Amino acid sequence: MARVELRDVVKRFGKTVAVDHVSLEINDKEFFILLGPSGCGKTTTLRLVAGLEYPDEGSILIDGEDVTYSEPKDRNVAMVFQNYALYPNMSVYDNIAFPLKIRKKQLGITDDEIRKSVTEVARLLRIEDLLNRKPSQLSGGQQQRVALARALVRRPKIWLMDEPLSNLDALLRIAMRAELKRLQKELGITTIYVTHDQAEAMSMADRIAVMNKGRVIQVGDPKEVFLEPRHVFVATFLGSPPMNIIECVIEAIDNGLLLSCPGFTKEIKGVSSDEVDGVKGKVYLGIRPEFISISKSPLPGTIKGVVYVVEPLGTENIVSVNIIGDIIVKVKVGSDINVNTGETIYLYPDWKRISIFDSDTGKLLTRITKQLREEYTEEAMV
Amino acid sequence: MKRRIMLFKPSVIISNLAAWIIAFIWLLPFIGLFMTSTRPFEEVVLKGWWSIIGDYTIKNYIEVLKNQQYDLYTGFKNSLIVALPSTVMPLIIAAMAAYAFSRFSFIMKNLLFILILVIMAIPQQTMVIPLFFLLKSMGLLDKLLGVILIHSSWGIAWITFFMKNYFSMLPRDVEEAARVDGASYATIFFKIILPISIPAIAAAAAIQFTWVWADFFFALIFLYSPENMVITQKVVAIKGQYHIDWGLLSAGSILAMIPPIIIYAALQKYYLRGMVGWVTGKG
Repeated sequence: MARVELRDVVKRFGKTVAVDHVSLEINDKEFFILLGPSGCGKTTTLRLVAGLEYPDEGSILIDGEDVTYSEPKDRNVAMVFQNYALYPNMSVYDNIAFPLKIRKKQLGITDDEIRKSVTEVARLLRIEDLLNRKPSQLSGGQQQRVALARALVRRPKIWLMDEPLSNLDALLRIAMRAELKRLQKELGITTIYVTHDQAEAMSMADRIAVMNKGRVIQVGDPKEVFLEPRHVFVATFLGSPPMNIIECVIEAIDNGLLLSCPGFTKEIKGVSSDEVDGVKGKVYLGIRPEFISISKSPLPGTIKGVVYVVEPLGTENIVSVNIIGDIIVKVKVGSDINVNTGETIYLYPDWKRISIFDSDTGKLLTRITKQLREEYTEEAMV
Repeated sequence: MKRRIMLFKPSVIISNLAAWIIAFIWLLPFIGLFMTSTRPFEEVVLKGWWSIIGDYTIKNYIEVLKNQQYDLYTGFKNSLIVALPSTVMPLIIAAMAAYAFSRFSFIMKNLLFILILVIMAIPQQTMVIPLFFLLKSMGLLDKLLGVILIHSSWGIAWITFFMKNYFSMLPRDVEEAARVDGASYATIFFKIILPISIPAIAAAAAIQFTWVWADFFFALIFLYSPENMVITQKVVAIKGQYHIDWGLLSAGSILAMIPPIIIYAALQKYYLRGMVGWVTGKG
């Protein structure tokens, strides 16, 4: 059992607020990923859980026990660092054995038992034949495994990982992703993992916390944060290419609202103008490139545009389309669909995947989004 | 083939030439000393040290070692007794102080560090009178222990500065990994920091040892009984009051140089890597 809880945690470095009122609950055996751009406070959050930094406000609990100000060694956590942080003066064996050796008395274990544990974990990570080498004689992938072994050998309650794969080459990184996920599930160790790589987050996490400027913007499983972004930041940070964001104007009309976007307008019935009071007339319409289809003839409800550039990616193409007002909309289509630069085409967005964000706060306008999705999905069905 | 061409690039030739010239000028006094030490007295007096043709002899070395009057043996013994603890003691203390300066925050940290820099800048000569009285009141005048303490405290200042720079360059995440692994600060320092700082420690040890070994000034003031004199004093004593045997004096000087040269040779592998402690001043 290992649950981690952060309650309203604040960490400042001088005048910068690195972690700004972060509250998180990480469940037992969960693979939890902190995702965000560099400088968003994700590593600091991890270091707070590790005990390498202490928060200025708030509290941190592990299994209900307040560990906010306890030393790292008293938290029963293990950490894997971005640069692996192996002890350069020790052999691989001694590196892995280190956490056990220094707790020998406390744990009441013998040298033989240490040797057994080290061999066992080395076998698990397939580094048995490297035990006599020094870290400088290992490749990046091997160092990575040693760092994992060291973090694993004393069976900690919680695994903390700070971008452990970012120094590996692309192929190895993808292989290690799968392996790490399997290992975590097999051993059932609660894991908090920091990354700026969304593909890593999507492929490994049980749940993701998307962070920006020290704050947690959204927490959810990978599908949820991808399909239902609660904030324009999440929408534009996730996805490759990210969500298309089109600036639109919203105003009250007789029986609802009128959404005017470049190239098209939509009426939204059944939503009172009160809903948009704070919006000051401007909103962002968001739609993922995956959820737009292309037609060569002007069907009703389509948006006219001119192909700006086509990027083939093998199984799919990313088509950048210039709609009215020099706005570029990216569309992901199958590679079997042939369009050429300069060609006039018509875009058909999937309205049940559309999101409307407040242009001021960036937050999702839930009611409007819901209404819009319902109305126009029905219309499409008719 | 390519490598060979590279060697004959003008910039390579010029820098090599410059290095050789500087090295030669640097070595010239030593060459002179060595030549003098291997020539019979008459030749040195009549021809000077620069004439390569003539007689060579090791008589001077034998004489200076054998003659009880010069007593170089006592000088060597005393110098070792002074230099070894005066190297080891400040190294241990300064390494720990430097680690604290580079990793922990405490009250008046900056002020203390500035104080260390100031101490490094004080000329030894200005301190010698108060030190004389201090040693006298402690009963350590004309005792090797007194000189050991003075050299050690003098060494602590610069070694702290030197080691702090080195520690500031070491990656922090190794220490953080150790903290998460459960190590105390003492374990981290002795098991991880010290082993990876061997280059810097070796460099500091070589410099401090040479410094103490070559010291004449403190020894001259604080040690005056013949049985307590160190090698630098004993070498000077080879020079008689009315008569100077240059050959003997040179042979004594060359012999006195051997221990520091051995230390440098032994630590040379680490020495260069450790010298980065001087050049980076970050942290």
